[in-house]
Amino acid sequence: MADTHEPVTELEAVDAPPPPSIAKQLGLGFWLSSGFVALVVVLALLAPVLPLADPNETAIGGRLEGPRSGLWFGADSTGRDVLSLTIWGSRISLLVGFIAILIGFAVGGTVGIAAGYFRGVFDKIVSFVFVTLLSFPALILAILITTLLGRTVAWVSVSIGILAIAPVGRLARAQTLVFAEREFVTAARLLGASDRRILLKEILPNVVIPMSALALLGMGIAIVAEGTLAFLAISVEDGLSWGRQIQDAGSSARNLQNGPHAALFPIGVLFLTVLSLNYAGDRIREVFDAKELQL
Amino acid sequence: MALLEVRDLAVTFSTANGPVYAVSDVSFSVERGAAIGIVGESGSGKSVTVKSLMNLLPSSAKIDGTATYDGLDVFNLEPSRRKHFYGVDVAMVFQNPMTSLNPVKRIGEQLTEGMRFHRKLSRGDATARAVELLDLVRIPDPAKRLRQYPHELSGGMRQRVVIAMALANDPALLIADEPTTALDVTVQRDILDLLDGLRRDLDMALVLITHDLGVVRDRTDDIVVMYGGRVMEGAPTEDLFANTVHPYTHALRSSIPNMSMPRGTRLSPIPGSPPDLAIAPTSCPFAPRCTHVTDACRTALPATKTLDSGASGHTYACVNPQLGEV
Amino acid sequence: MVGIGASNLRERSETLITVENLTVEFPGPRGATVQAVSDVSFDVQAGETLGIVGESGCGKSTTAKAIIQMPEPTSGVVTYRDSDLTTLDKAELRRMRTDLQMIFQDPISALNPRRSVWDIIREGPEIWGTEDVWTEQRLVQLIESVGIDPQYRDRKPFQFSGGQCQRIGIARALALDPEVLICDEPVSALDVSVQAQILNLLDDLQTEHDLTMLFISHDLAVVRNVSDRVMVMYLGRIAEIGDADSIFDNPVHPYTTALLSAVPGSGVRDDGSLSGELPSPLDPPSGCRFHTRCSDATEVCATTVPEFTKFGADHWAACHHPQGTPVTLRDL
Repeated sequence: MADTHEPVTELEAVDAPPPPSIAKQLGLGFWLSSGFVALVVVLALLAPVLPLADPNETAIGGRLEGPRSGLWFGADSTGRDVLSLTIWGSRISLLVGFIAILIGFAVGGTVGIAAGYFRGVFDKIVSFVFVTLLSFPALILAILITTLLGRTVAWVSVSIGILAIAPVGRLARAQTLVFAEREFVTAARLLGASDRRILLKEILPNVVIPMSALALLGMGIAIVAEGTLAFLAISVEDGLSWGRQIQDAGSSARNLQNGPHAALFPIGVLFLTVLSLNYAGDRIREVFDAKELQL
Repeated sequence: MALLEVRDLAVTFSTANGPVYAVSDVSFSVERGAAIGIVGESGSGKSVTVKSLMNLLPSSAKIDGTATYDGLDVFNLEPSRRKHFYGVDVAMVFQNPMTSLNPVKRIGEQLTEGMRFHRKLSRGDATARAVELLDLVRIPDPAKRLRQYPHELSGGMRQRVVIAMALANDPALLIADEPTTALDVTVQRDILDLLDGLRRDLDMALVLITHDLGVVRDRTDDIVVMYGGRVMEGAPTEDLFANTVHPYTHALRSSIPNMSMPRGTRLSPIPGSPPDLAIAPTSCPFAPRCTHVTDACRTALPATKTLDSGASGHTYACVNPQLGEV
Repeated sequence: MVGIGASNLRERSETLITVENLTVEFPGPRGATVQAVSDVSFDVQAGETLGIVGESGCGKSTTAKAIIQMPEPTSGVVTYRDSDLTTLDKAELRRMRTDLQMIFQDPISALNPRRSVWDIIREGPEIWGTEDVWTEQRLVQLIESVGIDPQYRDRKPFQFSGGQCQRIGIARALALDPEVLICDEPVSALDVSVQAQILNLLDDLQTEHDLTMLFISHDLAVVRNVSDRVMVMYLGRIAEIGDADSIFDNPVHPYTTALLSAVPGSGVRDDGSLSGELPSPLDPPSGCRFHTRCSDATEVCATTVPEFTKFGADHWAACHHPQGTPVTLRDL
């Protein structure tokens, strides 16, 4: 009945067409939002060489003058060019957002992955620290740091970055726990892979996708947080940022009534930037989660 | 007239990557009080078939064909009749009992809920009935079990509780979708025997869905073998084994090791992989893996024919049937 | 220690693995201890397939994994080629484990979704710097030998079916030239039509690579098909162990009989099927752990742990009331 020795090959079996490219799966929305973020970043980087008015020079336009050709975003209450303010302001907003998230990921990501992988006492201590950080009043921490250590880009970034450590670390830890349980990690250990190799080759590539989605979301949050600090006048001293600009334009009800554009343009750009970051992050997560689900 | 009559059922899912033809041209019937087995591998469409009857498919599923239950059109039930149909006439048991049980509710509460809703029983009457049901599915010490949570029970006990829940309103038809796949052999045997006994005692029809021909062999009146969303062969159980016709059924039987094979017996595997359901069915889905394939198999869908020899009601969809030992 | 570790009583080839008094315990809920494996002894001969069967929770998987020190046993000795694996330091163990590879139940979870087939299979040689032995050409041959077309080597696991993923997992394990392959339910997650492909493949590869296999499965028909010897476990202890034909044709332990009678077509009659529930490994029954469900149990079963008795040239069972006649030394 049974053949004694049939070939075991199944060479022709993999005939499924390759799935659509990642770029296509991410969709138009992702590329539009990424494009917008890229544009904002490029403008911020090129601000010194762009033909822009000096953002600090007053009376470029009339007081609260509306948008017109050559003064595309209008002027604020002291006649400064709102477009120039917005572009120059983006430099600190983006920089603070970026550094803050970098700190959050460097510290929270590393510690979280290590805690999730090694478990034990280290994990218990780390989890306790994360919970403590999360329950610490954020604003007070920021005020403490900036008033005690100085209202510089570095310290403002640090104060926001510290707040990012716990949420980032907890996600990193949770994701690591999921993958550390998977059998491919056991298999790697059996092959003789060191902990370092397992963390780098098996865990990290899996954790990095949900983490990068969080990075984009987090950067949006950090930019808004900087805005909040600026609004409370505890962000970068004398520095231009979107938050500062919105505070300047929006702190007087009369100015807001007479020339809302001075506040609305930076608010709009801030909003679109954060929205784009969030949307892009969400798409990344969805596409890669869906790929996981196909398994 | 049969209790359940399914004719030319087709289920197509629309997905981002185009349609998926999960079930095509499926017909079978279940007599009152009878047991039928639907056998197939994953992707054969066996689960989708019964889920379409139970209204459990997502909205992306398009259902064609008819299903008649006791004269009722299952796919076009009147709203007033729906509740009764899904709660009382037909009940279903799933593979994983934990999907049917709420982990934070006591067994008693979960058992009585349905009865109090569908039959408007008082709390006391419902509890009495719950004890009776647990007794029916042979759970020892039922009064104590009512106060327990699902996690306090073993897998086999949980599945018994799920079966008790399904029996609460005396269904005329019980559909069991791989009810024992996650269980140990010893527990599996007990649960299958229980289902078989309940069917006889309660005069309830049973549809048993499984990937394992051995599971349905001694416990069903009829068997439907599915592959790639289509019915390959359907016959009275004894006749299916005595006069296997379809090459897929043959292959399925000879590829699985059984206890009577001496050790080291070389198995005859089915080469290749299961079919891609995203391709519209225009030829026999088993043709790419069939050792008896002919040119005709690859060009047209095989018509369903009736076997002349053997018991009546033995049908198969194959242009190159292999009668007897292969 | 009784019998089963004493391979000198049997005339067989070389003993590759000896397990003596292996005990594995885990911390359970509320300070309790899960007694997953208790005082288990057996040996594995070079080139044979030892099937390990039993219900879920019987410790079959833990026993096999404790051999490779995953988890490290609570007590006991595991000897592989004259070295006690339980006493090795981390580096020695790492080196030793390359000889003892494993394939897993869930073929998809066993492969890193972010790595290509090529990277997955090359992982072992890359770790040990044996790429000069495992040249590209040889790895391609290996991939072919498990039935995967090498032209798809850059694809990711999700582009393959379950059966193909299991083939990839097998190739990964073989790329270190192991002596022992532990197969933990390797076909139970696969479709029936694919199971036979993998079983035949394992059979071929065993001959080709001269492998010793530990084959864990709850499916007795599969175990009967692949095993030279069989070990039946119940609640962390061995009930019966020995030659596969002898055990399947003439089981003497009531638990083995009950297990076999549950399989359709086994030909074993069901005399008093298993009654009651599997007791908790947190608090296993005294004496013979099976006594709470055994229809033949008497007082002694509840008080005394049964010793292993010999029932054939290679057939041992631990039971106070076996369904067979023990063999004495004179019979041999």
